[in-house]
Amino acid sequence: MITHPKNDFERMFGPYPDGHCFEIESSAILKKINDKANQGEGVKIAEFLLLRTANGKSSISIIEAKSSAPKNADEYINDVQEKLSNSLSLFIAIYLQRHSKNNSELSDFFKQTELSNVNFILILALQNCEKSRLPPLQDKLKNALKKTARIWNINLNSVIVLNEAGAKKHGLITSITTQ
Amino acid sequence: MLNNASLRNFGPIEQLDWQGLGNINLIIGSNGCGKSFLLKALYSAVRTLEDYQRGDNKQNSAADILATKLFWTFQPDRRIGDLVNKQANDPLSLELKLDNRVFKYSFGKDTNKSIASIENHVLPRSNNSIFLPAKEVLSLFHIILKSREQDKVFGFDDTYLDLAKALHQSPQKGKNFLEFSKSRKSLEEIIGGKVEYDDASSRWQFKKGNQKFAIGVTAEGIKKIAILDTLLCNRYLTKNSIIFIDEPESALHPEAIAKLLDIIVILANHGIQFFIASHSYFVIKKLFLIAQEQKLSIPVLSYQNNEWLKSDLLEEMPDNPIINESIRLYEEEVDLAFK
Repeated sequence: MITHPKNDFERMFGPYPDGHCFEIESSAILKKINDKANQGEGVKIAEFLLLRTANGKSSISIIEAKSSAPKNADEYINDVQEKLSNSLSLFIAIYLQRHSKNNSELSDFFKQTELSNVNFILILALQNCEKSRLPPLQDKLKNALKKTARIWNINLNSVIVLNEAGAKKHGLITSITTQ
Repeated sequence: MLNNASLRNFGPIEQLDWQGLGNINLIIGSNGCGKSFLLKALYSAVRTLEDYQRGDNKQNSAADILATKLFWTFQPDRRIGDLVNKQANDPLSLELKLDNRVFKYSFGKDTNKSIASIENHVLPRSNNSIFLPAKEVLSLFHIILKSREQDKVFGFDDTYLDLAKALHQSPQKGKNFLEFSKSRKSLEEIIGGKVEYDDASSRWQFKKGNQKFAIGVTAEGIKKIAILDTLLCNRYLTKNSIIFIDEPESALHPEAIAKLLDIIVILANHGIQFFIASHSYFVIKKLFLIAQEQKLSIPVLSYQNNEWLKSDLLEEMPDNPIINESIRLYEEEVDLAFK
C-alpha cells in the first residue's frame, strides 16, 4: 500500500516494488511550495506516480484516487484536471532538479528513466462508481486534459478513468481489500 | 392514452406483455428484433380505433378497417395471415387498453382479410395519431401519394401514406395550445427556419429568413424536425394524440437529438403520448437524464437474449447491448492505454 493514505480507498493501492512509487502528495517539495502559499492557494496535486515497465516500454502513471463519483461533474473534473496537470509538471520539475540539485526524493528508478519517450498515463480512480458512468466521465476528463496532453505530447488514449474493479484489473490495486 | 399492450405470435414477437405504459415509452434493441414491428402493430390498432365511426361513414366495421390497415401497414406477401409468427401453431393476437378500455383481436395463418375475432370497448376518438418513420417523407411526398392513391402499389406502407396526408392538411391560424406554440418555436430554433408547402409550385420549401430552398437540397435532419413542426402547426396533432417515432436519431446530430427529446417531454407533459423505438445511446442516455431530473417514469422495453425485458428509466439505465457496447468501447480504450 502507499505509505500516506488519507482514506480506505487510497489504502488499497499497492504494494508496488520498492522505488517504483513516488508519493508526490506527501513529498517534502510540495510541502515547501505550499507552505509559502496563502490558505486555499496551494498547488493541488494527485496522490502518487507509479513507474512500470511492460513489453520493454516504461510508463509513469499519475493517479488521483477518489472514494466517490461526482455530483457536479464540471467542477469535479476541473479539479482532477488541475491535480493531474500539476503533478506532471511538478514531477518533471523535480526530475530536472529545479528544486534541489540531488532531487533526493526520487528513487534511482525514476531518476534513471529516460523521460523523452516514457508513456505518461493520467488516471482518475474512483472507488464507488458503476461501470456505465465511467465512459462519459472519461470523455470529459480527456476533454479537460486536451491542452496538457498536447503540450507534453501525451496521447489522449492515455487519459483514463477507472473504478475499483478496473484498478484491480490493471494492477494498481494488488492487495486484499481492507475492511 | 395507451395503458397496456399484449401481443402473441405477432410477426417476430412471440409473446409480449407491456403494462403500465407512460407518457413516453422507449423500445430498444438490435436491428431485426421487432422494434418497428411492435410500433406498427400498436399504430395500426390505434389508427383503426381513430378511423372507426368517424364522420359520416359509419358503414365500415372495425374489423374491416383493421384488416385494411394491417394489410397496407405491413404489406404482407399474400394476406394478413402471413403476419402470424411462422413457428407458431396458435393465432396471432393483440390486446390493448386505450383510455382504460379494451380492444382486442386475433386471427390465424389462413386469414385473408376477414378478422373474425375482434372485441372493441374503446369509445370513438376524435384525436389523430401518427407514425414518424426513420426516413423523412417531404421530398418523397408526391411519389408516396401517387404510388398509393393512384397506382395502389406496395412500397410505401400506411405509415408513410398517413404521414404524407397529415402533412397535406393546411396550416390553421388562430390560437394553438401554448405548449404546442412554444414547442414549435423550439423546433424552428433547432433547424433555423421552417418548412412550408408552396401551393403555386405544389412543392415543399425550406424557409430560412428571406431565403427559400428546394426541399430536395434541404438536410435530412431538418426535414425530420420540420415534419413534427408542421403537424403541430396544422393541428393534426392535438392533446391525446399518440406519436410513434421510429429511430428519432436517424439523420440527427446528437445535440439536435437532445433538443428534440426536450421538446417531446414538453409535449408529453401536455397530453401527447409517445412510443419511441431507438438503438441510439444518445436517445437512451438523454431520456434517462430527463427521467431522473423530472422524476418522470419512462417505461422501457428492451430485447435481449430472445426475450423482452421491462424496466423504467426513472429507476435505472437498462442493461442492453446498446449500452454495453459503449462500456465495451470504454474498456477497449482503457486496455489500449496500458498496452
